[in-house]
This record gives sequence, structure tokens and C-alpha cells, in this order.
Amino acid sequence: MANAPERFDAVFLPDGVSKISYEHPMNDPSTAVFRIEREDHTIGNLLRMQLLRDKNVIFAGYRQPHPLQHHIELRVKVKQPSSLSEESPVTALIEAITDLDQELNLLQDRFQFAVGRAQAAQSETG
Amino acid sequence: MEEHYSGRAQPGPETFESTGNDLREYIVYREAPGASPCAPIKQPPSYQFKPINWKTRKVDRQNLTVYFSLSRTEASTRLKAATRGQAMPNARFPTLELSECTDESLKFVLSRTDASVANALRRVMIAEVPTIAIDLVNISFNSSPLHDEFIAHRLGMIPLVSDKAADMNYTRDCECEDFCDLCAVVFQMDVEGQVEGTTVTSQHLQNVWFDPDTYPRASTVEPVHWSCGAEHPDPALDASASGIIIAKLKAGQRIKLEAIARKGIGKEHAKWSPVATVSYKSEPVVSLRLDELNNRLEVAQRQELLKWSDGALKWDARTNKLEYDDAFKYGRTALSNDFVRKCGEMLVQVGSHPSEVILLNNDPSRFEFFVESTGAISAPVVVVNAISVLRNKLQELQTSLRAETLDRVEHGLY
Ligand SMILES: [Zn+2]
Repeated sequence: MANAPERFDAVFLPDGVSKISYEHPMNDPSTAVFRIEREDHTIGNLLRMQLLRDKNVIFAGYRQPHPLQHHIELRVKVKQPSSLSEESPVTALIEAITDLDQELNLLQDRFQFAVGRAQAAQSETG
Repeated sequence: MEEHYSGRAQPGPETFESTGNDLREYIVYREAPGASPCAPIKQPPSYQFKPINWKTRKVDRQNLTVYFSLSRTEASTRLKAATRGQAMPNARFPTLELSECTDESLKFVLSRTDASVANALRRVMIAEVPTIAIDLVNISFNSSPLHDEFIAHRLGMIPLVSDKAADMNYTRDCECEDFCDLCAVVFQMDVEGQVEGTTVTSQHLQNVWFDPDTYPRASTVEPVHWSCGAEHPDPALDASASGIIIAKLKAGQRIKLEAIARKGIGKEHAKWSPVATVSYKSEPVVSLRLDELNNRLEVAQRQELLKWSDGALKWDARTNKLEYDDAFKYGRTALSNDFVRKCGEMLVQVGSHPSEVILLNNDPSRFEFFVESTGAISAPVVVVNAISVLRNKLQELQTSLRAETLDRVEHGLY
């Protein structure tokens, strides 16, 4: 087992590695390829589908380059190449994350409320 | 009723924590009008949190950045209003109906969202909700028929009560040298076979740190001998009394070991997965390409089809064409099997393939979930923890993306 990869490699972010980094291929500010460390299809597909709801996003796709490399690449292209303070792949991703976080926040509240009500009903009958 | 909260650089989860029945709703304004949420703002933007007065509501669309609801009953209508106001044009507002809820299993329907969200939830429940499981076994004596690795593996598979897993550290992050009661739990076991034969079970595992005063977290961790509340009708198979079988010993055989349990997630090893199963299925939704249908079928056929539609379709007398009924558009009625069969037959008659007109599951937005816990964490808590894990991931990603962008600005990459 000397050359077996460590089990926690898929999970543990090593020191000095940033969770997310990106570059603009061909110096095109309207396109960015994000490299997200220690994540997989869970986050990749979630972000991709949310980004595709954005009207300014004309391409969003992700891939896991290799099953033993624990990062994903997310490629985003937006309509208008412009200064960073306006629409850019980075703002698109930030807003996609905000939207998803709010969606999950709402879901969390609704779930906890539903469970609370179900448990109250059970304790009344039982 | 005007309540103001101090500014905050980024809406963190702690600001939004509700106690479940909190009816207040907030609207979040960014202080600088029209400011971009992107990082290269040298000073972090501040936010104001205001309870919404829906009667006198005036949405300042330019400054409105984040909308969310802490309400329940009226939330959905209000959320609709907010989406019409383009508060968050790309956000979804999922709804949830719980149909079965016990500690062991859950059934619920998640609707108005995307398969990517449903799948992310499923994957996180299986692979990324932390629990505690036996990870290291020191065997000091083993004359049982099972070899050491076999026993160690079987011990790892035993679910341990992991209610306190969220408060414990991963051993690799812990400040201790080797392991301690903040990141591990130690069990001991010493069983010798009796003349009549002895079954070694999870009941024989003794928590060394059982004292709740000294070890408030570690003391709560114990094997889940039997996750189901009901007893098995066959007493020989009833694990509620006996526990989970590890090995069987003959007279004189002995197992003596020390097992160290640690916190982990299912992605590292399946023994840390808190669920036996999580599945979802999307409701089969049938829809039609009405223009194609009206083109390909004769008037008489269309009229015949109308009878089969159970009110999901209606007749436009002006154009002699089929249309969706309003009830169908709002999802209150559906197209039946019989309709689909009849429609398919007619299409074949006119030389078309049914799939050119009848669409199945074009855009699933309703997901029936089934969650079954191993007993390590109760099923409702698995779901809550899964959502938290997912949210933490997203927030971490956003924070480091902002930091990364600031870094680039400082290094003149823009
Ligand atoms: Zn420790």
C-alpha cells in the first residue's frame, strides 16, 4: 500500500492552496476558467445549472479532469466583456452562489418548520 | 416596527438564523447604490437589514440585493411578488412537503427547484455529512476464527451515535498530539468464549470516556445497537436486545482490542456515511408540443382526443385547435396514461412518431425524496446538516473568490 493515495486527499485542502482560483484563457475578460479545489460534481453541476439561469451567461460548463485529481474546472463565458465592476464571469459566479445560498436558506427554514410541525403532531397523537 | 441592524460586510448565516417560527421577513439593501457585489471594492459594502412591511412595500430595485424569507404560510405568495419585482431574478424558491417523518426515515417532496439542487442534496447526505466511526483498532489478543483486519473492518461498519459530531474536530485539524476527547472516542473490548459459545456484539464495546462530566462530547458516542424502534418478531433476529454481531467465539477463544473512533465523512470512507440510502425520483410529467399536435392530426382526431384529456385540454372554437386548459398550466391536472396511449396511436396512424409530440419529463422540478438513516444521526437532522454543509461550502467558495479577486487587483493583474 506504499503508493496508495491518502484517503483524505479528496477532502483535505493542503496549506497554501487556495480553494478557488481562475484565469482568463486567451486574455478574454468575458471568459474565465475557475479551478475549484477539493470539490466534485456536487458543487460543479450545482453552480453550472445556476449560472445557466443568468441571462448574461452564454456558456457554463464544468469537468473533473481526472478522478484522482480532486479539483474541478468551471468554465464561464458572459455576454459583455466589460470592466470588472460590471458583468464579468466573476460577478456571475458570485451572484450564482448568492442565489443558491438564499435558496438553501429558504429550504432549511421550510424543512425545519415542516419537521417541527410533524413532530408536534406526532407527540399530540402518540 | 422599524428595526435596523448594524452593517455587515457579507450576509453571514448567523444573521439569518431563525428559530423556526420566526415570522419576520427581511429585505437587504446595499448601502452604496448600484454597487457591484464583486470584490475589488476596497471597502467592503455594508448592508442594512430591514423587516419588510409588505403593505407599504416599495422595492428599490437598484439597491436591493438579497431577498429571503423567514416566514412560512404566506411566504410563497410574497416570494412570488418579490420575484415579479425582479429582486433576485435567478433565484428559485423551492417548496417542501413532508409526508413521513421518523428518526429512521423521511419522505418529502421538494418542488420548484432543479435536478442539480436535488442531486447536490442527495450527494451531500451520502458523502459529506460528518459522523463518527471506528477508524483505528489495536488488537492485543485474537484467537477468534476471524483475522484481525476482518474484525477491524466489521467494527468500522458499526454506526455510532453521532449527534455531537458537529462539535467535534477532525483529528487532522485538532491541536492534540495523537488524539484526544475533542476529536476521538476510545472503546475497549475483551470477550472470552464460554462453553456454550459466545456471540461478540456491539454491546461488548465499552466507551472508555463514558463520564459525561469529564467528556461531554465523547461520552455521548455509543454504538447504535438497533436503529429501528420496533422489535423484530423473531427473538433470534431481534438486534434491539443483542446488538450488532461482530464475531462468534467457541469456548476459550478470545478477542481483546482497543478501538479508536474518529470524525469523518462518507467521501473518505463509506463507514462515515450517515444514511443507508437517499434516493429521489422526479414525477413523470407529460406535456405536448401543441403546435405539432394540431398540425399533424385531423380535426376529427383532435376532437376525439379532447374527450380523452380529462379537461387538461380545451377546444378553441375559432381556430379548431387544441389548447391547454388553465388548470393544466397551473399544474392542477395532468395528462393520463390513457390519453398518452390514445394520442400515440393517432400519431402513428398519421405516420408520426409519438416522441415528436409527446414530451416526457421535459423539465423536472418536483422530486420525491426518500432518506433512511443508519441510526448515527436521525434522518431529519441528516437533511438539516446536509443543507448546512452545502451552504458552508458555497459561502467558503464565495469568500475565497472575493479574496482571490482582491489579490489580483492588488497585484495589478487587472
Ligand atoms: Zn484531538
